[in-house]
Amino acid sequence: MTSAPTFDSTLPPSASPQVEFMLATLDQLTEGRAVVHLITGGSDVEQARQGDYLPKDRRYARTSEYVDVLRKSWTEAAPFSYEGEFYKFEDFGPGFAPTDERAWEKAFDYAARAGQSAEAFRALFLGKSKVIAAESAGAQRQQEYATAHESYDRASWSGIIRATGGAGAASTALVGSYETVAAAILDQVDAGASIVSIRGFDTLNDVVDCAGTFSRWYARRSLTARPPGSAATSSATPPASAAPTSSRPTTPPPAPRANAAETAPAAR
Amino acid sequence: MTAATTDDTIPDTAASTVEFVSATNYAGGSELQPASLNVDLGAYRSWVRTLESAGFDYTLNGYSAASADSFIVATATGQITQRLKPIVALRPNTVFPLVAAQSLATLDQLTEGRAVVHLISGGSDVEQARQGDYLPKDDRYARTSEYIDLLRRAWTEKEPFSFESNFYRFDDFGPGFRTYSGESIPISIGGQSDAAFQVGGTKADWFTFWGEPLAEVRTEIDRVHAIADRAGRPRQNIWVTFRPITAETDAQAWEQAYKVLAVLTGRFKNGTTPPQNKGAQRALGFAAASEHYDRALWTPTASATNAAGASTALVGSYETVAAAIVDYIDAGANIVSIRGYEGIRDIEKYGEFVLPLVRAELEHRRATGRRGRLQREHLGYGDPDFLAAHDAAAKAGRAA
Repeated sequence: MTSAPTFDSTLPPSASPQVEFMLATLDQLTEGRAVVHLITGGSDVEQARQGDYLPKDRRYARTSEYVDVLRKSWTEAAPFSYEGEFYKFEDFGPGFAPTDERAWEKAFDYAARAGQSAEAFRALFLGKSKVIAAESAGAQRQQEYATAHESYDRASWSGIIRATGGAGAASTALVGSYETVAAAILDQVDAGASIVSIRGFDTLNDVVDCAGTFSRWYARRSLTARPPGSAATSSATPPASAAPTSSRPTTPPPAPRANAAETAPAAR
Repeated sequence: MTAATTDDTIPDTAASTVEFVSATNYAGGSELQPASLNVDLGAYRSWVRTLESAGFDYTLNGYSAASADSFIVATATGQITQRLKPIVALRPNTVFPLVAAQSLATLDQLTEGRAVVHLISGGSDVEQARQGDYLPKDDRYARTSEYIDLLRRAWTEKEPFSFESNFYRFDDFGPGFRTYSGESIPISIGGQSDAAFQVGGTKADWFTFWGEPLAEVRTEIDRVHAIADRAGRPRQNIWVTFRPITAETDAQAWEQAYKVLAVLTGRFKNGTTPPQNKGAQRALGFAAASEHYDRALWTPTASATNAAGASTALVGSYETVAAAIVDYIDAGANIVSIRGYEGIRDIEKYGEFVLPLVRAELEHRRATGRRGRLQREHLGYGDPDFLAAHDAAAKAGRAA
């Protein structure tokens, strides 16, 4: 291709601290509730759709620079210049800053651990015709687990991955009653997970029913009842009077399942 | 030039409708008394609600390298209001065009069709470099031109498409996320260079001017519309921006004008670097030639601020300012942006007095086919009392 003097086609789409403004603005408008999850990109084909031709093994190097630029622009008190492998600018700042630096520390920890991409999952569930072969390490690992076993642990099930060719990100299911799924979530908490993402396949009803009330409630109640250091698998049903440890209000259980049927939205 | 005021014939150039724009202030305070650099959520919500209840049609979410992000603020504004249309100011160098198309289409769906984008090609090398843009000024409009093409294609192409040029390259994008209507959202362009006119005239839906003297605006409107005609495109909506300083009487307005000028003069003492953008150069040229133009245009606010942004004022009573706005509607402007110096108080004043007076004049014209009395009775600089009020305020201002 022909290039204008200052244009480098390997530069990513937003080769600037612009995203810094977006995130800081979102954070201020929500009074400190913004979190960023960086997706480095798991498929060459998907990246090229938005003009990104950087090879996969260089994308994490770019993400690393990206994190540095974000952090600097949120925290530097004076204008600064930057010239890295991927980004270059002069005398930027001070940027528009978020309200709660500690929230961002957390966000970056998640970002650093994250490596999966969602495009193949989207391609499948949004009805795109092609299933893209898994290129990200996360998707490849999922595929290997699914090939080895259909079921793991208390309630993990690889059936969805098998059905989708394993290309989707985060498509391992937990299957069971509210109590079983809640117990399986607690197994992950025991292993060290402190943030649990659950998305259903019948999205709205799942949020209202499973995620919104039963599983979340059971998982939180179980945690509140535990003495420090105790194992989840041996804990008894918590007393109803146990206080939640979460800072968020915990919805009291609409105890019987019949109640959930009444509050769940009608079939779409 | 003085406004024609004795003839009640509506000029051929006159626009028959007008829509009003102001700007979003997310931090509270005002230009005279800035609150902070950060979002003040309560002040922001009340600001945009006041814009809507005052009867404004649009609000501009400005861009600078130190401000809040215009997409995010526009999206939030859309959720706080029901009718007000957020305009996203966007510099092409800051966002890849396909990503911008997706963000704007998202805004448009979340507001049920209220999104507008205003593209700023960039007027200062130093400001561009802050965001990593080293493209020479001459090439920036060529990039903006491609940017517009890609926005529209991302919104409307039914099949995946690829692209390769000096500025952008990608493979198999699309079809992209759709706008609310499935059509392109309005694309506005600013700029006074020849390149700006060429790109605006052939590709934009709106073309914007700062508050220049009437005769200049009239000439420039013809210029951009002639380019549109030659390209076989619909003529652009014409957007003109002023900073009205208005009160119940002309005398009170002039008093306020000199107070505003004193604050601005104190704040912009270092405004000696000549601006690179043509619009600012023109504004300073007009200001150097005269403080007063037409009915009520006042230029010292431009000199005092080195014309950093739209800075010319319209000064006078509510009626005088409304009449001056109608002069520009007569010249062909159909989108009028008014932003004051006194924050939410100005929005309330504009909404209570100025907007209704202008709209009433246009209603009168629709009903009768003739001009109403507004322009005939409020002459501004053509009225000796108005000049006396100005002179008294100027004298008091210099003494203070």
